[in-house]
Amino acid sequence: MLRVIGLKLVRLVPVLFIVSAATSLLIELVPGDPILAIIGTEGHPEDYERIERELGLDQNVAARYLDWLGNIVQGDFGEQITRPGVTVADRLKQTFPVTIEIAMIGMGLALLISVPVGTWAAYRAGTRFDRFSSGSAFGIISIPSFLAGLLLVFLFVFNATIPRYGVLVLGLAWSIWLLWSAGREQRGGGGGVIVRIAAAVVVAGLTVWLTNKWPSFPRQGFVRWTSDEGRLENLRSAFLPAVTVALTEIAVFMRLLRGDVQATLQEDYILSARAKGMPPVRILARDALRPSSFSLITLAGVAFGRLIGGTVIVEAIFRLPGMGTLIVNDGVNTGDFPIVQGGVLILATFYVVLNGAIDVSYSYLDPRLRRGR
Amino acid sequence: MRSWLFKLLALLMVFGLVAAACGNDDDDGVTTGPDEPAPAEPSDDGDDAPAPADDGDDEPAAEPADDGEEAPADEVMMDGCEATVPGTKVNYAVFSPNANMDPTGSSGALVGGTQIVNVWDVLMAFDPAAGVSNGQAAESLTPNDDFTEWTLKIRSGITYGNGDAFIAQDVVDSMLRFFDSRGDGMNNRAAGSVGLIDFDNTEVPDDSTVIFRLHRGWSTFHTLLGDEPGMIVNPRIIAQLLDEEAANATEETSAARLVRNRMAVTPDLVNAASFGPYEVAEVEPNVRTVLRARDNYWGGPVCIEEIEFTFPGSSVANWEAFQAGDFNAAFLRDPRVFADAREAGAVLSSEDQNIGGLFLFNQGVRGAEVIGKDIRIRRAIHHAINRDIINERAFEGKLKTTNAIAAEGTLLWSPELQECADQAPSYDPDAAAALVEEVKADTGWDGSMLLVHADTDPGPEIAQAVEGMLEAAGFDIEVDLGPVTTVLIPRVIIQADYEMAGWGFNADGATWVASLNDNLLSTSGSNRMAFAHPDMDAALGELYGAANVDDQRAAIAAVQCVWSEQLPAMVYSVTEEGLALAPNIKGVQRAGATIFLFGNAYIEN
Repeated sequence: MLRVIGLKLVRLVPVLFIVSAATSLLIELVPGDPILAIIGTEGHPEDYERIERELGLDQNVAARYLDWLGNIVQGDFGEQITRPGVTVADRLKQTFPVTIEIAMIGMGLALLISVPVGTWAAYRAGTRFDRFSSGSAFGIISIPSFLAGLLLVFLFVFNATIPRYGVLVLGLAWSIWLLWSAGREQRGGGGGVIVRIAAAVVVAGLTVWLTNKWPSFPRQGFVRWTSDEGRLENLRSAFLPAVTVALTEIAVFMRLLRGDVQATLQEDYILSARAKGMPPVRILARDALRPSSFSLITLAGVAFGRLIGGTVIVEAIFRLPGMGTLIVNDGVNTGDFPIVQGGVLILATFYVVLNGAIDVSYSYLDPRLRRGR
Repeated sequence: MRSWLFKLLALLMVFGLVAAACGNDDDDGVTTGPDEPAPAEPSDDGDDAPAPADDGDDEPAAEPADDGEEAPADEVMMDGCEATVPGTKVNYAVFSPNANMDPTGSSGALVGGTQIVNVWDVLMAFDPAAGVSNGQAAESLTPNDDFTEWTLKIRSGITYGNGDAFIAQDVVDSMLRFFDSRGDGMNNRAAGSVGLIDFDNTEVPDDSTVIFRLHRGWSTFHTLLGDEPGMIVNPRIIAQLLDEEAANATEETSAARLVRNRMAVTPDLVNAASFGPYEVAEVEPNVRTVLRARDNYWGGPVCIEEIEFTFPGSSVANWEAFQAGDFNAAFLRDPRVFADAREAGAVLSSEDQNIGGLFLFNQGVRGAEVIGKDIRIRRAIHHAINRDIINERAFEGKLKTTNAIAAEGTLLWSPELQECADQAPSYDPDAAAALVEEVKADTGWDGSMLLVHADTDPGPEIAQAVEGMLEAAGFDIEVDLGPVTTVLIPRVIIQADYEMAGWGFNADGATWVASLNDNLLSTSGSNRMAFAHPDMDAALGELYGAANVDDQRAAIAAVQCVWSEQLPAMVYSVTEEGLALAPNIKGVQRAGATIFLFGNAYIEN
């Protein structure tokens, strides 16, 4: 196993070299000049050449890249050009946790919702639940994330009463339905009456609690996990961006998992388990889900890596100080190449390491792969 | 169980849920949305007493503002608190993040003015309504008859964060640092004005007095002491830092620049070298700056414990977030946003920046042969452009359009000035077309012209409207639209490769003289148009010596008369900028036109 991990780490080096060299060339082609950003509207033309020399920007792109590479090898990400004195490493330390938190919560929410719903939809394929969940997934997939973000802002920030009372009405309806079904069971002599009543009470209690404690969500900004304002404030500020990120992933994961689980449920060993009278939840959770999760894990890994580098739209909508904002606003827009280089390097490393980890995880999910090696 | 029991349970649940969920609306923190606007409390229109600080006795007399603008939301707080109130906080949405906490590396209200003034304090605080400055860290500032000599008395008992006493020599040393850092990679707009101080003949007779001698009479010199040069940096700390950085300095990077870079990222240095009401607690570049109340502020206890400055991204973003309750103070700078804010009844403290909307004409920068040199073309452009169309197309009709360099409603406007402004060519497309044809026939020019404009909202709409109007008059317009840093600055400042450019001088009461001189004086290095006319130079000279507001009005009117005759550029609007404040924040004071001091501010309830 260590050999596998070691090989994957070795492969990381040429990938990062190619990515950083390509970034260096690309940033040359993009409009944006850090000297102009420094000079500003009060500057004078004679300042230009002096600052260019001072910052070493009069060198060609290859020389600048090699300089940067030499420093990176020693662990020095350099200084931001347009913010003298501010190190790129500090900017990355400030922004990376924001992006990774949003991506992690988003992925967590997506998996939390898509796995049970997708699995159950597969088990109850063709039923109303399956049709409803599949239809919802298609609907959600068709909403671009920037629109989803703006809709969430509209609903949860500026019109918070709509989702709040929406939850109240749904909770109410659910509780009543549970009671009604309990009554129906009672009349029909079926079991589970007490469970349904208890569920109705729990749903009602949760609905009341949630409606009363409905949090207000910020329009913009981010409270850090380590902030004095506390973890709850952090989660409050991360919630809407994370939901925006999660929405598309939920739909995709759900569709994927539903198909895989449905195929697995046709396997002989599942039929055998059913024949033995195993409860459906156990069959789904223990026997069907694990072999069905390969595609999901691969996709989740790719999606997570993509989210780390691709939350720029969500960061723009919610004005979050994350990696996307840093690379685009502080880096690309002003041609501040150390910021772009440093940011892209971190993202590329993360992406490659993550996908390597996913490869390694396959052998845990399927013992046949381990034995095959 | 019987079915009636379930029905009863269901009914009880319905009532219980609705009652429980609806019964706690007031304190559950539900966001105030647009349908729940902020309380419509009108701003106090200057009824409060003036600042308790002694003002310069011989300052030009204060005149009541007759501009119809909102006065500062609440100019002065008396007895707001006896000590800093724990947990009180101002969440302030800025227009753009500050580049540097060092005054020599920052610039004006838009780029960090409020952040740094609350850390450094200022010698004089400008009152835009009256056009005068009041003493802040200075006790008084007294000019001689021709305004060539100004005697500054500083307050006693002020100490810097490191415990050093603030003495008069520090004022001179700090300003000299400002003077010396010109051309050292800084882009502070006030730097040029510091050059008017004759440092060789400026005296410090004792620890509390500075006698400034100026190279020329300047009646509004007091405004400079309310700007970045009036923010005093402890020179002993600077000297120590210069020693430390001497070894790291190179031919290209001076020790002074290295010191400024260190100040940008080291809050402790800033706190030790300053004596303002707040200290820097945290700086996250381009994102936020957190200030905490200073324990031993010379002005007494600072009531509000913390100010957090955040950069949401634009005026619209600031206003949205203010409405959502994310901020209780938001800097605004868009006429459409101001209209929304007024409609929502927000408490505003704003100021009209004159010559805010402007088209520059290249008149031969660095010897370039450009069509804008011909005054007939400048006249044709004035005839071709309808300000109301720009307003409708780009600003939903909410822009304050004007043809005057001091718009009606601002302090220095006068009927005489308006009379001169009205002499400039007005909208007349036929006259414009005739002039364009005449120039084409005389010179062989093909009508082409390059219009450069920033693409920040609503730049594209402005450019498009102007392009249409000019082409209707016979121009052949090429538009270069893009970000300020990649299009406007290189085209206008670095390469001077433009013929017409969207710009703004943004002259307010505190910056009138410097702004007009920088942009219009024939010898100014910041004259982006190469406009040069002896009448304008003479009129600008009068502006320096105008003794009071009446004289200033007369001098500005004279500048307007030359402007209308020579048409160096085309004014189309003022730019309103200022602060939307939560109604419970009181005592916010102006340190400049739209720079706000929170040293005396407090939060009610």
